[in-house]
Amino acid sequence: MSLAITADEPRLSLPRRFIDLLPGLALLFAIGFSGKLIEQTINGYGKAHHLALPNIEYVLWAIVIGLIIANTIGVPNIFKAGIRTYEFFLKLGIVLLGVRFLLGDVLKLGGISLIAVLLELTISIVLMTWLGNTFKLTPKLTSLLAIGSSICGVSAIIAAKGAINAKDEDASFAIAAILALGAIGLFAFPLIGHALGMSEHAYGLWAGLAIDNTAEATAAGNLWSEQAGKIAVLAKTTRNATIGFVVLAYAIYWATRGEAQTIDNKAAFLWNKFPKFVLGFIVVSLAATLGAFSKDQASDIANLSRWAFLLTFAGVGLSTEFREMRKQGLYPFIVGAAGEIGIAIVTLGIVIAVQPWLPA
Amino acid sequence: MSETTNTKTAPAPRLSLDTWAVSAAVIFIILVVAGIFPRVPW
Repeated sequence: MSLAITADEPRLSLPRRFIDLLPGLALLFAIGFSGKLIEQTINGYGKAHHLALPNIEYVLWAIVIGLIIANTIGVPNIFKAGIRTYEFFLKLGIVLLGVRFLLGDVLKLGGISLIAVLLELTISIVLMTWLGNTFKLTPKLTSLLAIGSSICGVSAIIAAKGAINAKDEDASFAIAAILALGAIGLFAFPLIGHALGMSEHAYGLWAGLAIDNTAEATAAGNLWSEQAGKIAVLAKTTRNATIGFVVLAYAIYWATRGEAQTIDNKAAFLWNKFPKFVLGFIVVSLAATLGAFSKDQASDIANLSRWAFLLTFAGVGLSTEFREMRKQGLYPFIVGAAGEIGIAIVTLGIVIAVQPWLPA
Repeated sequence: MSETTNTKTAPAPRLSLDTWAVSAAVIFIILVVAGIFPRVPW
């Protein structure tokens, strides 16, 4: 994933920018669709020959194909602009996914998620801060790692970077650590979940609580099942919704130490930092609850969401470059890894505690 | 300074990724509900 978070891109006209996106978009589609074809081919072969082959979802194929390309031949520059749109497709997919949640489900699962998220936030921030201090990381890098691991990875780090006047290199370190750990979690979580015999609801909640980047959390959930993916998205968007409050708290902390600008209008700050796609998700869910869509329309909108996620998962693989992450140094990675393992264990405990209130 | 030398307009603010995503979702939903969008297979 691109770590260039401050460079001003030249302002191109909208049609030109769109044309620049086309090669990367075509690559995302080709990889995602190949993943889907591989899944269907293996399933078809198993059925035709009466073999019990493991059902490996297109999600894994799309990510793995992307990872192989990115980490062997590399991604030519002509594709990069289009590949970066996977974040857009992720958010588009989440908004459209709202059609598959009735508001009652959102309130019930979201309520459970919110309690779990508040616990997760508190524990993550305390743990990361302690680890950062123990390993003598710079205080702002520690703040960024704590924000990134407690809320939503890259978006939260970028939002916080400006608010607390952190250095570019600290932000890059924190982003690299979060991304590397997200890539590991993507594959480790389903294995651990299956080994522990978790239900798909419990697993989805765990993935949404413990994996930091929204794309990886969504992919890890979908690697288990589509239902687990839905729950992971709900838990993750609940975490995302807290971004403004946590970044505001850190901004005030650093402002009182004279190392960040004071914030006069806190309500405006909260609104600016609030992820608007979460509102879009809630509005679509509300419309579905009020019966605004026929069964066919709801099915079509849900399928559009699946296509958007297909492009997202291809983008996750293509954007994960291990050689970029190696450049970022060992200490932030050690702190991040130790923190993430701790957070994974704690959130697993939280999920087990709230399991009686989850659907079977 | 004369007014004519000081009328350089500031570039229009870029839309955020969230705004693009929500706008695109709204357009897709309108197209589906209006029956303009073809059935979406999966």
